[in-house]
Amino acid sequence: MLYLDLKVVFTVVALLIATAIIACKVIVETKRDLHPIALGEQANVGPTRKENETAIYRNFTVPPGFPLTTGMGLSMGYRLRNGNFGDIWSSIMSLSNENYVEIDNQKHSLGELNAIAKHLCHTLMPENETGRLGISSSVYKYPGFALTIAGFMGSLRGLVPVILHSVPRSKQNLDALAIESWDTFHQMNGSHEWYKMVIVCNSTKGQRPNAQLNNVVTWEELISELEEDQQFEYAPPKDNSHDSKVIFLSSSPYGFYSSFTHMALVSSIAAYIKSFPMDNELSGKDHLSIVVEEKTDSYDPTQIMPKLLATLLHGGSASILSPPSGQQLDQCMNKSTTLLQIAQNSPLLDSLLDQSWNLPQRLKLAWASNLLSEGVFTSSALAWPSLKNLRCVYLADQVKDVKSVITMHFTTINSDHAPKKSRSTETLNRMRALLGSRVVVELYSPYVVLGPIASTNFFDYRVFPSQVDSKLTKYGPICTSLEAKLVKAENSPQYLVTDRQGMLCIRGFTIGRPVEEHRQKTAFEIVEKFDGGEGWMPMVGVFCLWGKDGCLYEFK
Amino acid sequence: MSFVKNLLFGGVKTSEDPTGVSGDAKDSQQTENKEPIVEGQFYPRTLYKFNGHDDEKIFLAIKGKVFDCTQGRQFYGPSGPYSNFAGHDASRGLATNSFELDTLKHWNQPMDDLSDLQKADLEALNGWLEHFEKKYPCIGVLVPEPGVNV
Repeated sequence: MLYLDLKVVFTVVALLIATAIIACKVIVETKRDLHPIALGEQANVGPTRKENETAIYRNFTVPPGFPLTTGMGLSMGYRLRNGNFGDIWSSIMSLSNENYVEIDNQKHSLGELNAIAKHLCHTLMPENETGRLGISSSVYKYPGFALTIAGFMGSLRGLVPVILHSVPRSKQNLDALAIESWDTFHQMNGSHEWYKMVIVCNSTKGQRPNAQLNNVVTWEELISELEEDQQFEYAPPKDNSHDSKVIFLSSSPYGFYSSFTHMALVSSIAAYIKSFPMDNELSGKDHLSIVVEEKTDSYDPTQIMPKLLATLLHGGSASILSPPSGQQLDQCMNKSTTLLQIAQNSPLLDSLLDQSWNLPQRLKLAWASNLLSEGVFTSSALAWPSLKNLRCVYLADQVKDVKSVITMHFTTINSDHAPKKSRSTETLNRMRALLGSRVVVELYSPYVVLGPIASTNFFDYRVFPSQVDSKLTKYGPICTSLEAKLVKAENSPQYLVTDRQGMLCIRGFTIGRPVEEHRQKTAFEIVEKFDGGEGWMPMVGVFCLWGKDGCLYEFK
Repeated sequence: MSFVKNLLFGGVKTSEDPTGVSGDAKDSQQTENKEPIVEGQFYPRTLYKFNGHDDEKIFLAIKGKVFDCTQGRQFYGPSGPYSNFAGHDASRGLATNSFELDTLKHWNQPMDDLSDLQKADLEALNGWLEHFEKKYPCIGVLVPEPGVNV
């Protein structure tokens, strides 16, 4: 009798285990966001390669022979055109309703921003005049941000906004200059006389000088008595000449300038919009939060523009946050945030990941991490209910050697050089689980490329062996407005093109043009060895590897 | 099974290494076939194997230029109407609009210099060349092999 009972119990337990295994397998197989085969084929690889080069890689959505993402594809009669900032801003204004831009916890309607930008544009550049506006005040503050929008607007009529890294110490070709405060003014030591107009953006900081200053105006004086304006009319010229105009110049900490055209901005916006998978597209419900921390605010400020404008273009809102130290992510963020852009090495993320959780949360975290590694997304381990709207986090990461890319000078890899700090694929899944959102890692080359070069697929939650994470940083396929290849670099023979390794070269529409003639010449000389030039931009000192999955991996 | 094991004992599924740096990457025959061809010089002998039979890829030459026509397998691949051209110099066949084998040279014969073609044939050939340049990637040049074709 006892034997029979044991047999029944054993059979029932075995059946239960078998059912659980089969059920789990079926559930995991059917609930995956992306099939492993799709994850293993994320790029279009050219059928051939040249000696000492890898094949050309493109995003999977842009097959060879098809054009890269070049713009918005607007209709002009029977033709298509790429568009420019005028098209973008007029669409933003026509859609503007309740949406806003929030900077330092203060909401500004788009009507207000539009009125200020139009007024600044006319003040800085009266009819039929051209000029250059230097913006050295922070783009992450409202005056700097509004001045940048005004500069973009004015660039259609001949104004050239120059986003400065610091106040110029020598006389530059600038007609007007926006500075942070009166303190900055005093540090200028009389150089304000070089400009027709100097705008003091924060007049509450520092002491206003007693002397009469004819060419100095404060931000408050400049925008006083302005009323909201929802109208922005833009009629493109028939020859599309606006699309190729310079929209801004960007100065790097190394003293070099890059110029970007309207096409670069529009292509970057279009590539971002296209990066969303089906049923997850950008919409008016989206709210983009951009976190700028003290540790990371030296990043290229213009990089926030493509995502911000794309969100506004869909009727969404945006926030630029500068949280004080000691705050947690959920405390500083707007509760309606659905998209978050934050630096990869953000201390806010460190505090989230290092936090010790109670037992139920740890169990939920283990469950969610396990499911994610199988390719199934779950938000069951969400750490803070206030972040329940969050659907995607963009981790902005820079190339390992920003200086070499900008200066185009690289000698050899120094063995003492500290490896790049990046988060492992397992940590990224932990982040996905705790934030209950997708995490996309983006590779930026500040001051050289507008928008990311490569970014992780929305649905890619793979965890790689620790050897991979210790040697490489995983990004993803190349963005749709660029194509790329790796080439053999003479000073780094350890990277073998036969193993799909080498120095990164990119070609496409979001790349800035070096302003200095000697940098242009150096770029031509470097790429002439490969392919006779053909429009390639060398990313000097950026050594990468193409995975068999078509993703870009940078050596640490 | 790994899902249940990870659930019970902790841990996560580790995906296959796509980079090869861990030494675990499996280089299957299929992966090797996908490796891009190095652009450069082809001899009739080295071009021959890219006929869709001996190698999955399909290359053919027109006026000394080698094109990768793998994407046009339905035309140039086995059983396709132009399958004779695959792995060969197809210049004479295209110029004279003939798919016969006698328009092609074997890999061990001297290369066709096309000197006896009429003006109309040469014009037709240039038209084909233009078409191929637009449609297929040019991956190298066809030159005679010393001791074999010259």
